[in-house]
Amino acid sequence: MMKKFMRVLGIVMSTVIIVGIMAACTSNNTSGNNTSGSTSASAEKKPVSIRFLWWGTDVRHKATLAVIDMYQKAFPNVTIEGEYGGFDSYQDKLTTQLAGGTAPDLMQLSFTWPIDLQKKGGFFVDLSKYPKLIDLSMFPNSLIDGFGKVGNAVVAVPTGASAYGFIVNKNLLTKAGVPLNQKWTWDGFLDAAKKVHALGGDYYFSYDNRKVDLFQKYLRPYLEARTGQNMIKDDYSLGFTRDNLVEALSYIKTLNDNKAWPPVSEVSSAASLAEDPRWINGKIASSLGVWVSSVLPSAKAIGDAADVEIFPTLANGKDTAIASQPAQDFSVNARSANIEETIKFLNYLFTDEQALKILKDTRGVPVSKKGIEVAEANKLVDPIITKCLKLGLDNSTSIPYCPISDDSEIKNAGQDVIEMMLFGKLTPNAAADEMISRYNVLLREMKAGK
Amino acid sequence: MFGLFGCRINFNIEERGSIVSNTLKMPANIKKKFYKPFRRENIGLVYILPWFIGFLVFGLYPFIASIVYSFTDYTLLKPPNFVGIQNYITMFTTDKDFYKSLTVTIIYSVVAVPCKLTSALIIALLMNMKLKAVNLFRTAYYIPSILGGSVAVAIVWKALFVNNGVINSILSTFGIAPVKWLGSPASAISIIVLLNIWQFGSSMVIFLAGLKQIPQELYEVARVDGAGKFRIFYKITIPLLTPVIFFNLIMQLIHSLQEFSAPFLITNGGPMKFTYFYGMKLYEYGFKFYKMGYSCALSWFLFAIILALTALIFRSSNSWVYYEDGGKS
Repeated sequence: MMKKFMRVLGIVMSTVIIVGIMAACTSNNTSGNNTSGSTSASAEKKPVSIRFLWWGTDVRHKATLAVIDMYQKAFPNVTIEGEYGGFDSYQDKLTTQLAGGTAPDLMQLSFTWPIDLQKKGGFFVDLSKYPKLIDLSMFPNSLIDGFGKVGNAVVAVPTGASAYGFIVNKNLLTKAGVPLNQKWTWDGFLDAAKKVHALGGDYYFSYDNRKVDLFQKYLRPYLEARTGQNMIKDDYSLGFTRDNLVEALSYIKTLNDNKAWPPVSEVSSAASLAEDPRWINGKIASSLGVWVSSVLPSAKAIGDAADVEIFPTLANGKDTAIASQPAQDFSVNARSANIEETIKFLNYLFTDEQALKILKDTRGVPVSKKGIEVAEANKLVDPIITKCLKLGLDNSTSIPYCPISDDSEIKNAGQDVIEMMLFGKLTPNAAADEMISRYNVLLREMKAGK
Repeated sequence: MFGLFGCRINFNIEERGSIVSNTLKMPANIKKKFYKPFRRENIGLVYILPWFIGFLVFGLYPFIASIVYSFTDYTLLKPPNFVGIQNYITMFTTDKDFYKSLTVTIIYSVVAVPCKLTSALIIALLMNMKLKAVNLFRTAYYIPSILGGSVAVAIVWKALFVNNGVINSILSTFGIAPVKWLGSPASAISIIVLLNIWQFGSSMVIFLAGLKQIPQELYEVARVDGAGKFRIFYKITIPLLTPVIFFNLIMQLIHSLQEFSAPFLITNGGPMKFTYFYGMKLYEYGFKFYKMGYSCALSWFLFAIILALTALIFRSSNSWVYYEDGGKS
């Protein structure tokens, strides 16, 4: 009796499981199916499904989802699936999807990626081939040419403009006797660092003690200001001499020795400046190279005490080396089944007044012609961000952007050498030699591979 | 007996032949031809078919693909080009972090595995005693090792040891200045070793099973003969546990040489690459630098090392592992 019952139960359960799996598989198939997009002029209105991938914080997610809703109401045959999350591991996820051919139709990219990825795999659509769907002249040329153009193909458009911000705590600087609104130079930076640390052992001028930041926001701008060239030029040669590098590395060592930032061996748990208790409690006076989209949360964290200053440069340098770049880029997947519908949506994000009002400055300061109009008319951009961008654009570098300097291995090698120097394993001279030898090996490889 | 759809199925063990053909009463030659897969002796294969397909697709195919890729310059984004043994040459000559990474991983294994096995053994001995609520303790000690893939645990570990983390907060209440657990090379790797040792649960359970298999008569006889506790431990317990020790040693060694999530999440390879484990290096080269071909070469070298060490331990096992039945089973 029991045996029979158990057997019947077993059969019922296996049937349920099998049916369940089949149902799940079928539903996956139907939702994942991209039926072909509607052809240009005819009002075919076939149902279309677009996947849109981006990273950000809640503010950006909410705004984007609201715009997606609006678009779906205006064009009921289009379904847009938003895939979003934080920036952590975004790049890994995206490149894996690109490699596997499962990338979404519309993707948000960091400005250093489009040219690199396009060269490595031709993943993106040339938007200049669709002039009826998107008018590329609405974007500033500089943001397209430098960051989104490979040959004559335009593979990425800027979501907004950004510049590295130098965010400061006004009150703390005044307390330490550091003049505000000055024309910051690297010498002045060192001066301010000494003054702030003189206030007490746990007071530091800068938040940036991580090797990633020290390489990208201190070493590179210093070098490029000194030489007036890209750190790595587009012909894969070094844009600096050994002496230049020794000077730059010695400067960073001097900053470190004068306790410009917390000790490099101190690992903080705070996810960002805005959440770090030392910043919130006014023990840290500034952070360099803060991304425009993080300026606002960091500023809000200390309220009225927040301000932005001009990015430091060299008093006698050949160039300001103050970069401005797209806040992020949007690209369309070349393997998408709905290229035209995706481009239509992309265009909507930049030209529809309601959409622009909702998106505001969640992706940097708007740069499309319509975007700028709407932002000014409705005062959509927080004044601190406008100031940050203005300071960047007014003193902008004249060095054209070269993506090789942002290659992961190049950055990694530079970061590792700086770390070794700051831990005392290498003198600036030895560090310069080490970095140059590593770069020579890497650049030789890269040149051969291209 | 009634089977699916109410067919009568004869499960008489003496009767040879297939289950289905018996039921449907078909002529003998058709029985043999069409129902071969369902012959009693082959039906086991049908049952393991789902696993086998999974193994082929997710196990064997990547296994073979990776050795092929290791001879190419596969960047994950473009189709691969054959480059011969270039990757292997680069590994040993121009890669700056290769030897550092290898050394760090081996030191980690050499330190962590014995410590882990020792603590597992000690706790297993404790658990073997007849204490009240011993089951509760056993579960409690086993839980850390099943907290899956150690990702969540690694994040918790980081939160504990970070500069303004839990451990330093506790120390500060005793007036001790915060210690830079993750900032100094020596302590950073110790923290990761500690995390590995903390997850001794699975080894402990296996030791416990081994302990329970030791016949009680041996202990009684030894006690009667007047042997002290330590003597009993060294002369009876340890020798009879050597098969279990052998098993745990091999499993833990293989596992620790492949460690990835702890260093990746806690220290990200720093400071100064002192926790840049081989597993992490594999990952970075494959997914961050788009050098998947090189990454495959690295992983096959790791395979070779693990194979060599395992073979070494197996070879040596003849001299120190004692099997009750003389090693025949």
